[in-house]
Amino acid sequence: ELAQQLPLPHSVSSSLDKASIMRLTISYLRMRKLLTSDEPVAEEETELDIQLNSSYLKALDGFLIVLSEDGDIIYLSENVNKCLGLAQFDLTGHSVFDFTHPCDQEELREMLIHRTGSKKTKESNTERSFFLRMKCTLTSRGRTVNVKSATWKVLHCSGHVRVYDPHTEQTTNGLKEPPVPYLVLICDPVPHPSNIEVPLDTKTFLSRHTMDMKFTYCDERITELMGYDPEDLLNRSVYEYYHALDSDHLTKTHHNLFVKGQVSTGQYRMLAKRGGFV
Amino acid sequence: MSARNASAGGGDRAGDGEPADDLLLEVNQSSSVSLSSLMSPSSAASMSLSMEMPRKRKGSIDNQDSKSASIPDADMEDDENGSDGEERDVKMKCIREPHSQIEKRRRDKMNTLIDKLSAMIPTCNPMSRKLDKLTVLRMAVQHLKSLKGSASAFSDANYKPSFLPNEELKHLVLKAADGFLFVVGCDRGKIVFVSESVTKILNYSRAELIGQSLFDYIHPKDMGKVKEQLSASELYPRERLIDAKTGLQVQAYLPVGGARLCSGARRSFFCRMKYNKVSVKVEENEFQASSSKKKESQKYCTVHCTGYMRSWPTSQLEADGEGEADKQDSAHFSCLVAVGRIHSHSSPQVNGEVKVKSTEFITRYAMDGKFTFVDQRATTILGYLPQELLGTSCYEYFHQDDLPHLADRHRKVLRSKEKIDTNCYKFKTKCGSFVTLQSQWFSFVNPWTKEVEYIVSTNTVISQASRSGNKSEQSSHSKTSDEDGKKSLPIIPGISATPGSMIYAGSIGTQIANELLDFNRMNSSPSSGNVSPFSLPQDKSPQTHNQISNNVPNGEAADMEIAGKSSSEDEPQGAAFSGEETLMGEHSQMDLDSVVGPGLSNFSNDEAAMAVIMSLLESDTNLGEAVDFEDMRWSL
Repeated sequence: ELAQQLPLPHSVSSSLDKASIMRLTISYLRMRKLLTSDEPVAEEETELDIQLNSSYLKALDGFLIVLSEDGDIIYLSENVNKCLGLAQFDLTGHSVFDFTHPCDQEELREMLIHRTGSKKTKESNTERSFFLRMKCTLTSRGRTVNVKSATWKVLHCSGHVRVYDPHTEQTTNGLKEPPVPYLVLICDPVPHPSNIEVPLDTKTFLSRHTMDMKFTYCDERITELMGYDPEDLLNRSVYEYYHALDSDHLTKTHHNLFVKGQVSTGQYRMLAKRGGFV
Repeated sequence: MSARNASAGGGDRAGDGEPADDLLLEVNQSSSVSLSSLMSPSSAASMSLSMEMPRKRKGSIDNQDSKSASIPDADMEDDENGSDGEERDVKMKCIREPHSQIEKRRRDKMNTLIDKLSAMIPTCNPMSRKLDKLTVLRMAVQHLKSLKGSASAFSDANYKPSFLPNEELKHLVLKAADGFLFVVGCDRGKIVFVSESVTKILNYSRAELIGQSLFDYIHPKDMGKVKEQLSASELYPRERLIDAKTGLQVQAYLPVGGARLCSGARRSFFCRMKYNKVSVKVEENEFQASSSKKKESQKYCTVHCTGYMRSWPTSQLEADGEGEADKQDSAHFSCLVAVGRIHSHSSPQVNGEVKVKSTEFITRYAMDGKFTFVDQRATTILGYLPQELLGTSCYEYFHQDDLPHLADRHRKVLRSKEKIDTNCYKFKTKCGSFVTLQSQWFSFVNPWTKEVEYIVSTNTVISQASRSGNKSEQSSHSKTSDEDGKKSLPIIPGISATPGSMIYAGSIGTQIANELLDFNRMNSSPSSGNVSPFSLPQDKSPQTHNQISNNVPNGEAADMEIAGKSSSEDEPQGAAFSGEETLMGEHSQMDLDSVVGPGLSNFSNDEAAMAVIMSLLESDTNLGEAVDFEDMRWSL
C-alpha cells in the first residue's frame, strides 16, 4: 500500500518490489524534508509561470540529481533515462557510488563534503563542478542494455552544496537535528563530436588534435574567428595559443581528459593571429 | 481502525506465513500512524525521535499480535489505512527464496530500510518503546498521504504523478545552478518569458526583460551567434556530420529545412548577457538600465543556454499546444525555451588582479636539512623529481655564497617558533644552473615530544633582480686564511661523484641539527648567537669559514672549527665540492687548491664549509679543536 501512496505513476508503482518501495519512500520523504525547509515562494506565479515550470527539466541538457552527504541518491530527475539509459526509479535511493566509476568515487566523496564556514572563511564555496563517469546503458543506437554491460559515460556535473537547516522547524521535544548538507547537481553529458544533435553555429569550430594537443585538423571556421588558416595550425601544439593565465586550468583539463575520456573546458583565451585574445 | 488492521494483518498472516507479510502489514500500519502524526506540527521532532527507535527483528508471526496491539497506541489519530492495499502488497512480494542466506540478506536489507524509513517519518514522540516494522510502515503510509494533501490525486485520469512536482523541481534546478528560464521568440528575439530567478543572476527585474528584445541584452559580438541559434536553417544548409568511426567531417547535404526548427529540436550555446552591476533594489536597476546605454559600462557574463524549440499557437500564448513548427504558419509562434546557467567556475578571474600564482613550492626538511617532502611543483622549477631530492640534504643545492646565511637561518628556525624568512638564495637546478629562491621556513615542533619534527619551507622563485645579498657575501671572501686549515683534514680526493657530496652537504644540516640537540641537552643559553659548547676562535679558518663566520653567529663558525679529524671529513668535503658544478662566487681561494686534490677544483666554498661541518658532525662536540680547513679547496 505504501507503493500506492507514492506519487508515482501507477504502472511503475505496481511493479516495484518491497525494497524498492522502501527506497523510494525514504527518498521521497527526504526530498520533502529538504524542500520544505526553503523559503516559500514569495511572489505568486502567473499561469505562464506554472506552465513553464515543467519545461525546466526539458530545457536542460542533462538531468538533475540530489545527493545526500554520504552519497545516497535522494532524487533523480526523469530525464536520466534519456541521458544514461537508467531509469529514474531504479536509481533513487541507492548510493550513487554504485553507479559511478570507481576511480571517480574519491573525487565524488570530496565533492560531497561540505565544510561549514569557519571563522576564517565567511562563506565556504558551495559550488561544485567536476567530471564524473557514470554507467550508461544507452547504446549508440539508442537502445538500452542491461546494467551489467553498461559503458561509462562522462558527465559534467555542476551544482551547489546546499544545507538543509532544520532550525526553522518546530521540534516539540527540543531536539534539533544538525544541518544536513546535500548536493544538488545538474549533470550534463559532454557531447561527442560525432553525436551532436545540437546544431553548431558559426562561432564554433571543430579541431582535432593529437594526444599532446597538436592540431591535426581544424575547421575552416576558425579563419573568420581568429584569423588563422587551418594549415597554419597544423602540427602546432594548441598550448602555444593559450593565454598564460588560463594554462593552469587547461592543463588540468587536459589531465582530466586522459583520466576520464571526455572533458569540457571553461572559458579560456586563445591567441588570435593578429594579436589579442579571443 | 487498528482493530481492522489487526484483523487484516491477521488475515494475511493466516494466508501466508512468510515473514514478508509482516513487513507489508507493518507498512500499512506504521504509515497510517505516521500520517496522523504529521498532522501535528511536531513532525520534525518526531522524526528525530524516530531515529532512536531500534529496529526489531524482521517480524515473526508472534510479533503480529503485539504489533497489532501496539497500533492503537501508535496511532495518534484516525488512520485511514486501507486494508485493500495489503492484498496487493502480498501479491507483490518476492518469490520465496529457498536459501536462508539469501533470506537473511534480504531481511537485513529490509531492516535497514525500515530503519531509515522510520528515521524519516515523523512518528509520534511519546512512543517510548520501539516501534516495530509494521508500525513504521504504517506510519509511512500515513505520512505520505498527508503530504499529498487533500487532493484526490488518484481520481484524476490525467494525473501523472511525479516524484517531485514541477514547482519544486524548478527550485531544485535553481539550487543546482544559478539559472533562469527564458523563452524567446525565434523570429525577433522577443523575450516572452523569463523566470524570477533572473533577477538574482542578471540583476534585471523580470518586468524589465519581458517584452524586450533579447538582442538588447546580448553582447554585440554574440548577436550573430544567437541569431543563428534561434533561426531556421537556411543559412547553413550543410549539416556537418562527423563520421563516428573516422572522426572526419562528412559534408552531407541534408534537407535541413524542417528539422532544425521543429518542435523539440535542441539548442545549446554560450552567449554573453548583460548584467547590471548594481544589485540593490529593483528601482535602482530599472533606472540604471535605462540611463546607461553605453556598452563599455555594461558588464557581461557568460551564460550557458540549453533548451529546446517549442511552438505555441499565437492565439493563446499560454496554451500547451504543440504542433509541427512551420515557419510559414503564422498561427504558431515558435520560440526557444531555454535555461540559462552561469558557470562561474569556468570564467577566468576578471577582477582585474592578475592572479599570477607565483611559482612557489613547498618542501619539508627534517631537522638536519634533508628533504622529507617535496611538492611536485618543484619539478617544474628545479628540474628534480621529488624522489631525487628526498633524503638529500638541502645544503647540497644551495649555492655556496648562500650557505652561511642559510645555515644561520636554519639555526634560527630550529630555535624559534616563528616563520623565518631567508634572503634570496640560489638553488641548483638539475641542469646545473641556479634559480633564485626565497624561502620562508617554519619549524614544526611536536607538541608532545617538544622536538622539532620538521621544517616547512615555502619557496618562492624570484627573478634575478636582487643579487645584492649575494654580493655582500662574496665581498667577504677576500681573506684567505689557511692557517688553520692544515691540520689533519684529510685531502679530499677528487671525488666528483654525488654520493659523497650528498653526505657532505648533509653534514651542514645535520650538524646544525645536532647543535640544536646538543644545545637542548646542555641546556645552556646561547650568547649572542654563540652556542656555548662551540665557542671557538674564529680566526683560523679558510675563506669559506670566514665567509660563514662573517655572516653568521659565532656559534656556527665555532661549530665548523670543531670538526674533528675524523675520516669522514674526507667524504664530506669531496662530496660537497662535487655537488656544485658551477660556481658563481668570485672570491679566490686558490690557496686551497694546493691542499686538496685536483678533483676539488670545482668545489665551492660552500662545500668546503660543508665539509668542515660534516667533520664536526662526525666527531662529538670537541671543543677547541681546530679544523683542518686548509685542506679544503676553495675554488672559484
